[in-house]
Amino acid sequence: MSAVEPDVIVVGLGWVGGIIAAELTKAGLNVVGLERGPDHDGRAGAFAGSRDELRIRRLEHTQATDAETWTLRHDRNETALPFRRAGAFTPGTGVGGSSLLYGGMAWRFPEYDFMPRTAITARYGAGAIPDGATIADWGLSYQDLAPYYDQFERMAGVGGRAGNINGEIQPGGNPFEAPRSSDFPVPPLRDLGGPSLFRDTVRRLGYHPFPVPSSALSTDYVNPDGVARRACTYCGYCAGAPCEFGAKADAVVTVLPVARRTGRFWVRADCTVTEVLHDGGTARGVRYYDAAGTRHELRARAVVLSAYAFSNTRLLLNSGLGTPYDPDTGTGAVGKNYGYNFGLHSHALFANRRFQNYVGSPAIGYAIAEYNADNFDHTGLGFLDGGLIWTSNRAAGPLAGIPVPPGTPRWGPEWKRAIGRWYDRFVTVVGHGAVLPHRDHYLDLDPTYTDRYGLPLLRITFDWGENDRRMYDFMAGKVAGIVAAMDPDEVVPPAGLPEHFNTAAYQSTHNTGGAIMGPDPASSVVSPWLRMWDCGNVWVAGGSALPQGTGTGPTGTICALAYRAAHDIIRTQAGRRAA
Amino acid sequence: MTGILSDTAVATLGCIADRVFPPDQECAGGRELGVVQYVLGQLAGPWGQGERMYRQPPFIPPPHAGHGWQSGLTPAEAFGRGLAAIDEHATRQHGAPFAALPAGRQDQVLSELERGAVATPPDLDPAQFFTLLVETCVEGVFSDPRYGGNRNGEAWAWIGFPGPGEHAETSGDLR
Repeated sequence: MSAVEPDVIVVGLGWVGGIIAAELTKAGLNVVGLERGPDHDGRAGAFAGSRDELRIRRLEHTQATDAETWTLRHDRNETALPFRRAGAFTPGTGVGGSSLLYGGMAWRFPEYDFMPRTAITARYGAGAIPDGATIADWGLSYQDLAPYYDQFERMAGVGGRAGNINGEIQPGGNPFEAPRSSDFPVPPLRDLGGPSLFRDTVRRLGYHPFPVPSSALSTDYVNPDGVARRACTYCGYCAGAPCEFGAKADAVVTVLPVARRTGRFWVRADCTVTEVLHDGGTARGVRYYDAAGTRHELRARAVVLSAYAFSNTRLLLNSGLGTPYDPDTGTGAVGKNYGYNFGLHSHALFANRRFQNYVGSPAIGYAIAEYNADNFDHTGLGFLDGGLIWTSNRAAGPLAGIPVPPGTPRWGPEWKRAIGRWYDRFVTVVGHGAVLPHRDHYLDLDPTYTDRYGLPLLRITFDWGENDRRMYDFMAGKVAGIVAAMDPDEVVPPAGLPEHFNTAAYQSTHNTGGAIMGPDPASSVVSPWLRMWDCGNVWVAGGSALPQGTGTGPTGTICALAYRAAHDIIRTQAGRRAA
Repeated sequence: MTGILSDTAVATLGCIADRVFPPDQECAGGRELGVVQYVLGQLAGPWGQGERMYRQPPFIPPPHAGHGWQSGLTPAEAFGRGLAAIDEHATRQHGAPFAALPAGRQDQVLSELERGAVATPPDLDPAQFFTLLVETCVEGVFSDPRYGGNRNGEAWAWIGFPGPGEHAETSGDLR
């Protein structure tokens, strides 16, 4: 029976595992998907009751850190300590993974992101790259990925307004975006109060606002796989919760049912893969534990790791696959180029206006790209790269935090008066900032802390750096200008980057690197097809493949890369199948 | 839920609920809204019992504020020890158990805890416990009434939050 030795094992069933499983099974391959967390097979009611701020605060659907967590040290002189609860980032678990929890933004990267070293050197000279920054070209161009961005956007029903169609700039879109071959498959969502104010304000200031591309549908939609989904209800609970309506695209409602209905896909949930089994250059299968704690081995002709950047990297390290990165010599690539981004927020408060921030989602809003990537001249600024700036209705309700004027106490009668006065009278302007890769920001195995099976946890070595602080100050200044131009009654400025990265305060779940792609096997783990250089029947797909943190959210790019990797897997594996 | 917290701790918690979110003309205070019931329910449940919390040793006091919660205590244990520490501090520094102090003195004790100036067991950082305490009380005010607080949705009605709903027809802007 095919499930006993499938063609392909897929480890981790989030966006990436789901996309790959669907494409492979459609192409006739037999696939077993192993998922550490529980199954959600997308029947009506699977996510009933998700619209609850407390359930979101309790990190339902987030990785269970008692079983497996990460440790972090801020530099090599510090002892790494564990995340005893998730905080700064909240990767998902269970079938659907982080796709259940994301806010629904679906971006394409600008062309710069695919070849940052070449672009920086050409514009500013090689001396502009700071010492220690391991910025690297990807080995594939935006144009190589464009057809797969198309595929992802059509599958998910991404809505927006194109800014560049085949080189022609379109009014109302992002004039800085890389060219697309046609407009979005779905129109943008409705203009809401706060985002409309942002849009009008930044236009007056000379910026070019455009709708945030969103995988929450503005209209009912049937995708090329025949999956029908209904339009978004603007309920406001996207971030941190699965969509009860199936309007926000996630793997459970889109690609996993497609895989299941082929009859060639078997899901083994509550199964934790601990190791890829291999003989030097060829993988044989995986070892995993089931829910009862029984250990199994499953053989296959190929293995796909799609278990999130952290678990992908940890699996490689615990399996002895590839060469671990050595920060002293710079040799080895498994674990290097850990990437991240910072977020900054400023709130504009209006005494006589309410914005219904609980309507909508973080992906429904307007953005500007003037300070993203290399869209502006960095000469004399002291930093490289940048990030997007946007306004959306990001908070569902009072437990997300009620902005009050600076100096207000955090509790007591004055605080109560302030939240009564200012609740929902705010517009939030958000900035994003790319964190450059650095030789001292990397992933390896912790020497002390272990998971429930006694295997070493992944250790993250990371802290904010000079580029981050200068970029943050610059972006904060631009955001301040926008907020001031709204003419608010009170302003809550950005909080600033703390002295050390704080593992407890939510920042961003855009963790990247650890198994980066590249054109050169000596300095990367996977090819631009995401196939391991050192083990030709293993693909490592997900955020782990991105060589740097970016100012643009990576979900759309990670999914497009998954489609491209699926293409590579099918063409190499289909020919090897027994009849 | 009996036994999650001592009677004294429950009394202290009820007073704290009314200091964090005091009663006034506009809206009932935390105690009346059911914050104590909310907290007891949470402490008895999976979150309070430390489910999904990584509790493997060694527990190392963090060298700075970048490492979050590093104690082995579950929320239920933290509340038990923390509320007891508040009472001991109130008695020693202000002359009476917390629940017997006037409101102004209670505020002073809480401010002292917020500043880290209350003695707590070595595995419980006072400022971190203060944050946990305030956040849990606020959850008791504003979470869905099914969890025991936010009596009848009064806190939501007071600020004008409609609760989970579908808003497809609204413009999202009330002037």
